[in-house]
Formats: sequence, structure tokens, C-alpha cells
Amino acid sequence: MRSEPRIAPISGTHLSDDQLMETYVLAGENRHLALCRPCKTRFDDLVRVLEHVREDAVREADQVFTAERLHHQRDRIVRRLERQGHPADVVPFPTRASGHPVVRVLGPARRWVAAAAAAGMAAGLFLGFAVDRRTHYAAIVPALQTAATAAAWQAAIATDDQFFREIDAALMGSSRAVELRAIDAMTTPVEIREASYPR
Amino acid sequence: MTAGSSARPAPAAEGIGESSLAAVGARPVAIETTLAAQVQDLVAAGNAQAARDLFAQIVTRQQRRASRIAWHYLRDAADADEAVQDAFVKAYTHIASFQRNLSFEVWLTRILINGCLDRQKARTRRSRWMMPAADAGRRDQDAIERATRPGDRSPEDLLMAREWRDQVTAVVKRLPGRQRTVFLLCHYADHSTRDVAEMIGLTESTVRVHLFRAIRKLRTAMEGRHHAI
Repeated sequence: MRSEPRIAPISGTHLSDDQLMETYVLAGENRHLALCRPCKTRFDDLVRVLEHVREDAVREADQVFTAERLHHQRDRIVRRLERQGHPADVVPFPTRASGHPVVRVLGPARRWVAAAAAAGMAAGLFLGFAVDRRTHYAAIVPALQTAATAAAWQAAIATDDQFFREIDAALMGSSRAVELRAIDAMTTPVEIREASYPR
Repeated sequence: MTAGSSARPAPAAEGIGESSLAAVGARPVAIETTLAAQVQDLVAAGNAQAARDLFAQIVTRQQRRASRIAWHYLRDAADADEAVQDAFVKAYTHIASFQRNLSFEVWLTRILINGCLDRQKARTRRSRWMMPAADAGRRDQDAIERATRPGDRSPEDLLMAREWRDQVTAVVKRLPGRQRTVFLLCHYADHSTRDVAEMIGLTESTVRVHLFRAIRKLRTAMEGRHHAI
């Protein structure tokens, strides 16, 4: 790439620092550098520092991602790809073996006890319902609605991340955001331990 | 053209020859791109095992580069490892949508960067509610220190080198999002500004502006600091 005509000393003496960096970014030849030793030295200095930054960054990453770690990484990738082609087996719920029906034999006493318990429960429900029908309904309906809302809300939260998104949205959009933030400020964050990771 | 190539040679493209030129930009076709096209054909033909075996070769060739990018993006080895795995798995899963006139490396890096960005956002959300374990970053630092050979340098030099690295890391971390991404991809991962423009959906001139500003900030922050070279 040829150098931009404007990368030349403005005052006719030397390139500014910005112009040196511009030359580096554009990766082009700069005729001034070929003519001005001080500017060339400064440019070489800039390149040397930036190259050192880059080499050190590469070295650091390679110290973390050793050959062994990369080997494990590759293995895990291959295993994940293999699992893609083989969906998990569904283990059927254990069923009774055919030909061997379970015969429950209840003695007379047990049958009477079971019947009495069922009758008592039915009577209790009926009486409770009859005594205060309105209160009963008033208690049930919001509970049912809350349960339905909670169930729907729970179903929508598939992952932890989604859970935190919901909280963030509630915090930002809630009219009680001030109180919530005050509670948040007083609450110590939960300390979690990350699972150990194979090196 | 890679930034700074007037001072150092441009990274050698692993091409298979001038005779196989990509349709766009007349660049040599990298081996990974050719392999990816073959994987695509095998998947389309229903030969999953052969496709996976061939894709594993691509993984071997690209994983180090991808891991470097993910590491510098996320600064957490476990996170970076998973991000790289996710990127490769996603690339394989969506191999049918890979366009052969593009570079596979560019396509994969785009997937990787998007994955890293998602992880960063998730991490930011988690950090509002949970405090990570104190030793989370310690393991990574221990690995780096163990890998450094103390015999090559004096303890003072090692300490100064470490401080210098910490300063550079802090400066890069403070860069605005786009500048940081461009700097990581152009300067650390040695991609051309043209490739980076394709990866992140900007024009090449915009990429150069971001790179220039990032380098200027780094240069300003490092001026006057002593470092062991």
C-alpha cells in the first residue's frame, strides 16, 4: 500500500507521533522516513514496542493454552460433535412385567378404614366449602392466579442467565426500583465457587 | 495489508498456490477453507463420520489461534476454552451455511467473537448478583508463572516484565468495545484490517481508525513507563 500523501511533516521538519502511528496502521511506505533518520528511529522504536506487546500477548496466551490443554480441548470438541449425531438415549420408565399382575388383597378392616378416611375427607371439604363459600373462593382464586403466573414465569426462565436478565429488567423497569436498589446495596453478594477445571 | 507490515513481514497465508484464487479479493485460498468446503460436501452426502474426522483437522490447525483470541478477550482460561469449543461446534453445526468464497478463518473468528461477547455480557450480569471465588483468576496466573522460565532473567527483570504486562493488559481492558476488539484481532491475532472488517462488519477504514486510536491510547499510557524488553 502506498503511503498517504498527507503523512508528511506539517512544519517541514519531523513527523508527529500521530503521523508515525498512522504510518504503522496503514502499513505503508513513508518517503519521509527514508530521508529523516530521527523520524525513522522514532518509528522503529514505536514498531519495536508494539511488536513486543504483541509477542508478549501471544506468549502469555500460549502459557495458558499449552499443548496438553489444546489436546484436551480438541478431544472435547470431537466428543461434542459425536454426541450431536447420537441423541441421548431415553430410558423408559420401569413398568410392571406382563403376566404378573399385582393383586392387592385388603382385609375387611383395611377396606373399612380406607372408606372411612375417604368419607371424612369428603365431608370436611364439603363442610368447609359450605360454611364460607365466598371466603374460600376469595382465597383460592388469587392463589391459583399467582400459581399460574409463577408457573408461567418459571417456565420462561430456562437458564441462570435468563434469570439474571429478568432481574435486571425488573430492576430497571420497576416503579419500586429505588427500594430494590437499596436492598441490593445492603445485600452481600453470594460467593460462588467455580467447579475445578482440568488443566 | 496487515498493519505495520512495512516494519515486519506480513503473516504468511497458508495458501495452496496462486492458481487457486478466491473469487473475492484475489486472495490465495487457505487450506482451512478448502477443508471446510470438503466437510460441507461430506455432511451434505450424509457421511457424518468422515466429515467429523476432516473437521477435526481444521480444529487442530485453528484452535491455537482461536484460543489466543478468546483468552485475550475473556481473560479467563475456562471461559475462553468453552468459548472456543462452542465456536467450533457451532461452525460444524452450521457448516451448510458457510460460503466458500469467504475465508473459513474469518467466518470462524466471527462466530468466536460473537460467542465471546455473549459470555462477557453474561459475566457482567452475573457479577451484579454474585461474587466470583477469589481464586478464579489465580489459577490462570499460576499457570503463566509456572510456564515462565526464571532461569533466563533476574528476579527484578521478571518482576518488571510482569508489571509491564499487567499495565498493558489494564490499558487494553479499558479500551472501548470496538477498539478493543479491533486491537485484539489486528495486533494480537495478526489479522489484516481487511479481514477484521469482514469479521466484525465494519468498513476497513473504520477498522483502521479504531486501531489507530487503540494504539495511541496504549502508547500514551505506556510512555514514561519502564519495562523489561
